[in-house]
Amino acid sequence: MVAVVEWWAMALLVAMVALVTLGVFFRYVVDASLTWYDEFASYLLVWLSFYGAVAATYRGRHIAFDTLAERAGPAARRLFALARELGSLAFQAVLLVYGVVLVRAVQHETAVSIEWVRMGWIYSALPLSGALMLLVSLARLGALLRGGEAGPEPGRAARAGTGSE
Amino acid sequence: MEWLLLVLVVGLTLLSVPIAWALALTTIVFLAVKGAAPLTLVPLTLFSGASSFPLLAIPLFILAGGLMETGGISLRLVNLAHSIVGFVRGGLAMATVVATMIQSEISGSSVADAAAIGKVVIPAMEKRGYPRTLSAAIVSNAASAAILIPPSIPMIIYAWMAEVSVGKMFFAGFLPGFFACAAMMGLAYYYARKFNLPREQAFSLARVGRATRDAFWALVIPVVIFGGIFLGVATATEVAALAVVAALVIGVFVYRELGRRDLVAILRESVAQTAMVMMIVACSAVLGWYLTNEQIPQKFARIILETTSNRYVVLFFLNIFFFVAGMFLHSAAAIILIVPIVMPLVRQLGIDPIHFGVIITINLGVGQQTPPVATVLFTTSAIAGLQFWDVFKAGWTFTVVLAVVTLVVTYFPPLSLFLVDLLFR
Repeated sequence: MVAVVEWWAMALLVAMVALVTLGVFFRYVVDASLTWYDEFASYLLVWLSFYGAVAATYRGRHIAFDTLAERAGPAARRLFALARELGSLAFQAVLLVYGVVLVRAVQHETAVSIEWVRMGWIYSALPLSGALMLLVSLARLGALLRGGEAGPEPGRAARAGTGSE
Repeated sequence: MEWLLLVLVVGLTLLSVPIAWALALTTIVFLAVKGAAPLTLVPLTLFSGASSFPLLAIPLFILAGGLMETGGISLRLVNLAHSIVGFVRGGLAMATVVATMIQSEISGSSVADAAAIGKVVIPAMEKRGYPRTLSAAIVSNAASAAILIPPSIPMIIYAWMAEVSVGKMFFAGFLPGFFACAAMMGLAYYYARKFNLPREQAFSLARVGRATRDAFWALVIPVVIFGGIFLGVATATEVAALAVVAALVIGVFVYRELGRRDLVAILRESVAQTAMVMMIVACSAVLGWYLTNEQIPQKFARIILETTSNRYVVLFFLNIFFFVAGMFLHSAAAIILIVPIVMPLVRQLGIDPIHFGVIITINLGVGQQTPPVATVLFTTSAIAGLQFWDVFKAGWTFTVVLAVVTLVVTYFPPLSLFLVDLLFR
């Protein structure tokens, strides 16, 4: 399931390159600006960021400070993992629940440049990605409570040389 | 009340909750307790915090950097730098700094620079008798110095927050970036004498020529980037997209080192890195909204101005403030949270916002080297297979040099503004 979301996010990134390149092409070669291009490119960034965040959650790639957790003994380590998952869950739950509220609230609004696009569709990325991340975190919490390892640890990947700053 | 907020952010972070969620969760707790605004504000601000056309430059430059790295560019850049400065004592250390500089003209992230260059040079330096901790320290600090050299993700975020032109920020970063890297090279030379590190080879124009030819296409990309911005042909975001296309064409058709499998891996990695940065950006925006709503910027300006209105003193305080923040916050979070707080004060005192942006960028570069939150130091240490504390001990002098550069940049505005004035006026 996460693989599907990851491919979807990768497709969004490709679409972003294509859209911005197309925007430049239209402005300078065809000499006619695409009126909807910067607005929708910005929405594309939101979608890419949040669906990408689902994959990043699954792969434990979100930047976290885990020096303490790594130095702790096995028992304390589990407590850190527990705190991490519970903290993540709390945020994801708010994203899901209030994301739904938000989508409902704006369902009659439309995008600025293209009027048949409803803002509700565009905002839908928030509750959807919230729900997907929630599932990932719940699965990890379940594994943790059953006594298994808690999946990939957030900071580990960042330390392996792929953070971004 | 504001102190509790800080305690909660730091507490959650120390518990290893991802930094982005810690920022958002703190805001959620405060909104819920105080009832200052409905919680729908959270997704709304997350959305507006991430939907910005200038910020599109972030994933695009990440992708361009990934394409260039896998496409064999980093190795060619190291070879080129090596052929130019290899004749000096400690030449490999010099070459590392130069290669990091050139690499950072392609990618916008010091973590990515440190990773790309570190993988190539740290093993090579070990073979030539460099202490491993020192090599890692040089790569790590050079990458933070080179963040001044555009494109630069912190500058993109700053320009967005302070409402200044990304293009101007980029040009303002050039000279300070060269200066910072020259300072790094100076210190590297000192260590080279101290540890009696080797020269690489005699200088040969033919070798430089060969390496330049080999790296020619890699050098074309920065020209495309800055030519495009300077001529006003395109915005930074659009130039970033063109850089992606150029890197793709060069990697696939010219160097022929990019296959379909590589492309998928690069895309996957770029998505993850984009999500990491953008979640911090979006969640910082949520906390930033709360701080602004509580009138923190006004309170902050009043407290400072009651003490002094001398802009040099204020700049010194702000530097200390950003330095401490940079120790604990990721630089994207620090910019989004603090820039709105200090901007009214900065403008009131007549400090040029472009100049201020350069100061913050290098200041937060120091923060990337100082634990507890030191992304670049951690990354480089991981690549070198070392404990970050050992690397820090071996190379803290380089971090001191970065701090000195920050002060020079602060108190000598022409270093930042000369090129901007020259080109845009």
